[in-house]
This record gives sequence, structure tokens and C-alpha cells, in this order.
Amino acid sequence: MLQVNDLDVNYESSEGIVQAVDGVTIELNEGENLGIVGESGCGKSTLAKAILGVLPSNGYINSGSIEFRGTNLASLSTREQREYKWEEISMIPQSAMNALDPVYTIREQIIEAVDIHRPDEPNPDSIVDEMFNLVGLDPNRADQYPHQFSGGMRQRAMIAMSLALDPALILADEPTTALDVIMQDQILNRISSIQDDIDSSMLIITHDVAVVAETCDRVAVMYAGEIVEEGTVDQIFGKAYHPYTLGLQNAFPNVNKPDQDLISIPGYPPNLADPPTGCRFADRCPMATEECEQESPSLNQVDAVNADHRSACHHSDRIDTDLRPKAQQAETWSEEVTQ
Amino acid sequence: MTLLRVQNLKKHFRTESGLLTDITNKIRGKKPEYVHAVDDVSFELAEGETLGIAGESGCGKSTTGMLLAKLYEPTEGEIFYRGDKFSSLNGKKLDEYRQNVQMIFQDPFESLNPSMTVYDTLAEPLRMFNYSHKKNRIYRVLDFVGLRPPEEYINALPGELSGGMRQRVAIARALILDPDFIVADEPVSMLDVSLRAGVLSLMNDMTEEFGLSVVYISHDISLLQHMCDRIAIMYMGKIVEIGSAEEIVANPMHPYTQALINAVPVPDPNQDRSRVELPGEVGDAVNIPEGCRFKHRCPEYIEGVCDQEPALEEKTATGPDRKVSCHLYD
Amino acid sequence: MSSIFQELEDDAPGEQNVGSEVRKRSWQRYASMGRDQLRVLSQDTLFNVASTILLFFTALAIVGPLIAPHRPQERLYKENGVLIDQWAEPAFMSSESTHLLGTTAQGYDIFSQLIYATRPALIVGFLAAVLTVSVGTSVGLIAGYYGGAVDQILMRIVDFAYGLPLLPTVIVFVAIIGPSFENIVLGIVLLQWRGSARVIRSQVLSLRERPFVKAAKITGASDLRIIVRHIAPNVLSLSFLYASFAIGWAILTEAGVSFLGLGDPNRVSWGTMLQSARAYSAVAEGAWWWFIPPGICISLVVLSGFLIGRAYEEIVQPELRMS
Repeated sequence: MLQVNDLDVNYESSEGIVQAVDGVTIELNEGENLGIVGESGCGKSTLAKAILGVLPSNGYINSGSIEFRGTNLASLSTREQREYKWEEISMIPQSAMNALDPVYTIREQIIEAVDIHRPDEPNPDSIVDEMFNLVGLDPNRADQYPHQFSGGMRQRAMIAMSLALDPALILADEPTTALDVIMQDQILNRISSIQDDIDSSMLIITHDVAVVAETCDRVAVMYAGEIVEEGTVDQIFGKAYHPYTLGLQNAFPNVNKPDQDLISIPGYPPNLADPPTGCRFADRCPMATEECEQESPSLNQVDAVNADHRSACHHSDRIDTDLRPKAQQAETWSEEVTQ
Repeated sequence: MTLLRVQNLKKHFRTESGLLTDITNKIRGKKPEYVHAVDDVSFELAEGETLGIAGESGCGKSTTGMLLAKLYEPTEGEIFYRGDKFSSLNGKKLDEYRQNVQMIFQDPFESLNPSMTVYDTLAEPLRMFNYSHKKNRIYRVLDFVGLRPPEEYINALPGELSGGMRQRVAIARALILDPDFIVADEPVSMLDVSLRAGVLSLMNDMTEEFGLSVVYISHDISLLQHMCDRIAIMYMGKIVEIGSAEEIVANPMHPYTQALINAVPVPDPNQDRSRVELPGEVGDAVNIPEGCRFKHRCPEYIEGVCDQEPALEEKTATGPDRKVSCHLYD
Repeated sequence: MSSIFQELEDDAPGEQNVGSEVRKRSWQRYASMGRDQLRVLSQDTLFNVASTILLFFTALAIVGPLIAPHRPQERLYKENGVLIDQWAEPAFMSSESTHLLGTTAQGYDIFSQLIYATRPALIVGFLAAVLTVSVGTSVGLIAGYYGGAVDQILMRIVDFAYGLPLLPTVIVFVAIIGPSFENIVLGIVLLQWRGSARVIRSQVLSLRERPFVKAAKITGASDLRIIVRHIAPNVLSLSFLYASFAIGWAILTEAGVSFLGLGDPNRVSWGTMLQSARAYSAVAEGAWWWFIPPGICISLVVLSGFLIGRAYEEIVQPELRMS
């Protein structure tokens, strides 16, 4: 359904050109949930904005394509893009607080969205009611203003709004980061059941590995503007092949495994205005060699069997033997790293 | 030895304030309304112990932390520090308390004064209490929190540091007076995931090195389980359950605790968790319901019984050192 | 007691030399911050033009009296020594005139007056600006930090000050107290502090809730210490901003007061020049060289002040949150 090919997105900044997204290729099939995982600065938000066509004024798509059901979104004019937005692709933003207009009621805002795309819609109010029921909100409250809703309710109202037109693709940008854990659970439940109802696919962008584990079919891990590993959820969580993925998994405590050590990856992500040659994770990787610092690895199949599990690492063959067994020990990741 | 004893602590905030509102309320015969942020909380903290306070936003955990750090004065109730009443601390004893208690805040961007260098930020507490060897202390504490070499950091302004570094400076500031008690309010929730473990392990180190007692406030139970000896669960200003960290997570007794633990997503696609979906939302902290505050959402609600306020106490089913506030275990 | 500090207590008294004197002093830091800001500002052409103008006038104020051909109230006579050289035309208009900009009705050299007048204008401008902003910032700090009754009272005073129009009030004030530059400055400051007070107060309101202030409180910092060490440095850039706008307002107000006849009778300022010109009906006489030059000078200086303030605002604006 969605095919991003070799996408390059740059920002112009006072430090020069920042290569926020560099050669990213991902695909999302119909009816599937794809999770993009990474930390701040890895480019995942930029990727989301590029797909939606809402890059800020100093951002631009340098090369590559974004194909949605065959049409290259990047090549469309703004007006043409607008027709896709909301109707086919809609977004659940990170913070509903900022996405809802405080001076209009929720009902007015949803109806406005409906009107733009379906001016001939005979009964927009019923859509509002239906959506509210779907997200578990009382339809009678649709005539209230955003500030009269609590944080969790606003997020749900936002979801109602973005799903009002039965989009085929939902893009959720950190949909639950700002929420408490019980609210987060409720919302994720809602989103899952809604997806079943309206038969849409979802692209979730988050730093929370646990959320991805529970909601997604496939995962792509991003680091410093590039995809470093991708595969099904079972593949990535069962047997990750990229050192960064392994490091990331160590950082999340598991309620069911209280004795697991929490390990952090030393160092910091590279400056994307001046990216290093070679593998961008090299200076933090316990397995890095000279080859890693000189040549940038490409996404390759990790083994002969699974065509859809790929990792961008020169030493995928050694992960099984050298890194994975030690990945959960703190010493593996200590400061003196490269050999 | 008990470091802190909190007794029937309450903190209520006026919803509206001001001279004009007072007058108009009097005219209209309206009584002032209060947000019951902390409503009768009692617990003890032993020396060297790490206590976690868990709960969602609005449950009063942050306010409790600020009461412990003496940023707020309680509306009712008392806190005892090494046997001394908070309210009677003054002069030298108060100074002593101030040096012994420090706080680490959630937002690394806001925790540091943007116009003060790292050196100044760390020197400030030292200057207030006339410590000697300032430079030495600053260098050593910077080294301890992992900002090495210290020379590189002393002239930096917060704007030049990343979130993780700023939080380390905040921790250094908390440690520089060699305290014995720290309140940490969501210290890692705004940091990147891969940096959290580093800061958390630093906090473990500091607890050991400085012999600290820590009150760790967070909404993330999985984190608390990792870092704390005991955990207290708060809901709408009250503690609903308190006990050892392992037990609370392995065997939660209060329905709210159960829901909280069940709601935590697990980073393993093969582990299913039993979901208990709680209806509704956290209640209105201004108009408190009668009886158990959780009753409107509780899957175990018992008509009549739950309309009496349950007490936080040890029940037969729990064993020692575990308290639950729920009629299920009466 | 932690072991990392243990050895310190055993050390000989007096600080050891840990590392070389790497620490930057505050003034060094402010100096480099200032340099950075200047660098950004100098990319703005308007700023460059405006500061050149202001620098020029400042130089004039300093060295002016040394280069002026005459004293400002020196009666000049024609070659014969008897007749007052009044209403002389500027040198570029009439070949016989030796005066660059002509003379007044009383025979004073306009060009010299113009130069001499620069000093009081700039002094009034800077002095009033500094005092205005000092008062305003102090009030804003106190009202914002303490809140409650103190805040209410101070803000009602500010409201009252806003109710009074600037020029008329200064006029009345000077008329009562007596016309002199000091009194004019006083009159201006009496009202102008209101603007910065309000804005600084709202900055302080948000600053005092920030965790770093809470951290200082927890450590036991007194209110004064928090205000001076933690809050004030973060509002300084806003104060500077208001100061640069205040310069313009002050100069304009002084010119206005002087023009209306309440200026300092013993000193020449551009405003008093205008007042003279009007009194002697320079317009009717067609002696535009008498009132146009001071008008241009006032406009240039005030405009430069505002442009510099505007350019500075662009730096301060995005940083208003972080200072």
C-alpha cells in the first residue's frame, strides 16, 4: 500500500544541510501495522511529515519517492496532496493538546474535516456520533470545547477526528507518549479494535519498543536517519541482528523480568549536518571494526531463510556468536568500545 | 533507623484565589473549593531505603514529593525528619535539613538556570552554606556523574548540553552538598530511551556511594520495580497499597494496582498480558466521592461496603509490611 | 559522608589548585555573549545603519563642543562689529555667509547650537532609559515574584500610571517643579517605568515556577537571593530591549517639553531650538535652515534607537523562553 523508496529528506539550518532522512526504503502492505522505532533525532518524525506532506518550510524531499497505492505523493501538488490527506491517509498526532483548535467545539472541528473532503455528505453529525462511540466517548459531549476534556479524552477525540473518513492508512506519531499508562492501554485497545472495524493499516512511529511489540506486525528500526534493521515483530524481538536494536531492547525494563539489567548505549547519535562516513552507529558499537568506520553498510538479508528480515551491518554473521549472547551484560557496552 | 515519618499528610489547593473572588464568593454564599491533591497520606522511610511512589497524573505523587522537600507547607498533618517535626524546624536545624534534602526534577531543560554555567549552578549551593574547597568538590562530583573531564563542562551553559548531560548536572547539583535524602520526580521520563539506563545506573551508584534514602516518583511501574525497595501506589491523593517492590508487582492486591500493572505494555510480542480495562477516568479531585475513591471504576465494587472509606492497613491476607486500603480484604 | 568528599575535609586549609584557572568569570561570559549577539545583529543592515548613526551622534556629543565654531549662545556680529548677524542664511545658499547653517534671530550660530544640543539629548535619552528600566525591572521582579497583595498593589499603581498620558504629565510636572533637564528626566521616569514593569512581571511569573527556582528554594535560598541570582539574569535581555525603546521615547518627550517652552532655559537642546524658531516665526520668515536641522537630528536619533531595539528584539524573541 505504501512504498517509500530511497527517500532523502533534508533540512536547511544554520549549521548547513541536515540529512534527516537518508535513503530510507520501507513498505507497508494492506491490513498491516508497521512500527518505526527510534529515538529523538533519528528522523522518524521527519519521515512521517514527509509522507503526510507537512514538512516545515526549511525541509524538502531531496530525492526518492513516496508511493501510496501507486501514486507518488511527493510529486503531487499541494492541492492534490490535500485530497489524499484525511480521506486516505490521516494522522494521529503526538499531542492532541496542540492539534485541537481551542475556539471551536469538537463537533465543529470534525464536521469541518468531513466537509472539506465530502461536501456532499448528507449526515456529518452521525459520523461524529459514530466516531465518538467508537472511541468510547459520550456523543453528547461532542459539543464541548477541547479544554473541557481531559488529556486522555482529547487524544481520543483526536483519534475520532482522524478516523472520521475511514482512512486506509493511519499514521500515528507517538500517539500515547503523553498519556498515563492506563490511558495508553485504553487508547491502544481502541485503535486496535477500530482498525478491525474499518479495515485500515497503521504506521506507528514511537520510541517505545513495548508499544510496538504489542501493536505491530512488522518493525523498522531507525538510527541517525537510516533504517538499520527491519523485520517482523517476532524476528526483531526474538532474534535481533543489529547492535543498535539489541542495545535498544536492553533499555526497556520488562515488568515480568525484574532482574534484567538495564543497560544504556554509551555515546550520542551523530550530528546529521555532518554525518560520518561509514556506519553511523560505529562509534557506539561494541563490534565495530575499521571496515565499519569506512564503509556504510546496506540493508541485507540476515540469513538465507527470512527474506523479510534485513539488517544494515557488516557483521551480521557474527551477531549470533559474538554479540547476542553478551548483549544483556553491561560490560559489553562499556565505554572502551572499538577494538 | 527511620529517616522520615509522614503522618496524615494533607495538601489542599484553592481552585480560585484572589481578593475579588473571595468577596464575590462571600456575596454569593459560595464556599471555597479545594483540590485535594494529597489527602491523608502516611508512611515511613528508613535510612538507605528507596521508596517508589507510583500513580497516574493527578494522583498527588508529585505534590507529596514537594511536601517532603519542604517546597510546600502541608495543609494538615506532619512530617518528621529524624524525629524532628517539620513545622518546628528553624534556624540551624532548618539549614541542616536544607543541606540534607535535595530534589531531582523531571524536565532536564527546565531544571537548570539557563543563564548560569555548570560551575555556577554547582557552586551556588556551596556558596549559600559557605563551603570551602568549592572547586574541588565541583570537579569531583562532575567526575562522579560521568561528565569527564570536568574542565570541559564547567563553563558550559545549559543550552549547550544535551538532555542527558543536563540531567547529570542536575544530579550533581543534588549531590554536591552530600545529602542523605533525595526526592526524584520522574528523573528519566523526558530522556531518550537509550540514555535512561545510564542515568538510572548513575542513580543506583549514587544511592550506594552516598548512602542515600530516595523517594522515587514515577508513573512507570516497571521502572520502580527496578529501582526501589518498596513501592506505594497512590490514587486521588491517597495511598491505596504499599509494600515491597517485588511483591507489589508479582502479587498486586488492590484492584487499581492490578489494573496499573496490567496496563504496562511488555516489550515481548509473545507475552500476552491479561487486560483489565478500567472504565471512566480518574475522578474529580475537587468533589471527592463518599467512601472508597476508586469505587466508580472498580471491577470489584461491592454495594454498600465500598461506600465507607477503607483504611490503609495490614490485612490478614497480606502478611507483614504490606498495607492495602480495600474492603476486599477485610 | 560520601567517600568522594572525604579527602577534602582532611586537606590542608585553603583551596588546592585543581586544574588551571579554567573557569570563566561572569563578566567574561557576558562579554562573549554580547559579542555573539553583536555578530548576529550586524547581519541586519538596518541595525548597522542605525548604530552608525547613533555612534556618530555619540561621538558628536563627546567631542562636539571642541569642534563647534562658536558657543551656542554667543551673539555674533557682522563684520562691522555693530550689527547683530541675525537671520543669516546658510553658507551653501549665500556666498557671503560664513555660517554653515546660518544664524538665529538673535545671532546665534545654528550649526554650533546643533552640535552642542547633541549632548543633552543623548544624556536625557540614556539616563532616562536606564532609570526607567531600572525602576520598571525592579517593580516587575518584586511584583512577579511575591505575588499576592504586593503584586496587586504594584500593578494597580502601574494601571494608574498607564492612565496618565506621557507628555502632558511631564509638562505639568516640569511646570510645577521647575524647568531643568534633571526634572525632565525625572518626569519621564515617573511614568515610563510602567511598560517594562508589566512585561518583566509576566516573565518573572513564569520563571518562578521553573524547576531550577524550586531547586534553589529547596536548598534554602532566600527570596532575595533567588530574585537576584536566578531570576534577574534571565530577564536582563528583556530589560535591555525596553531600554533601547525608552531612549527614543525619552528624547522625543524632552524635545516636546522643550518645544512647548518648558525646557531648560540655560541649555540649548534641539527642542529649545525648535521653540526659539517658533517664537521668532522662523516659518513665516522662510528660515527653514533653523528648524529643519534640529528636527532631522531628533528624528534620526529616535529612529536609530527604535531600529536598534527592533533588531535586538528579534534576537531576544526566540530566546524569551530560555533567555
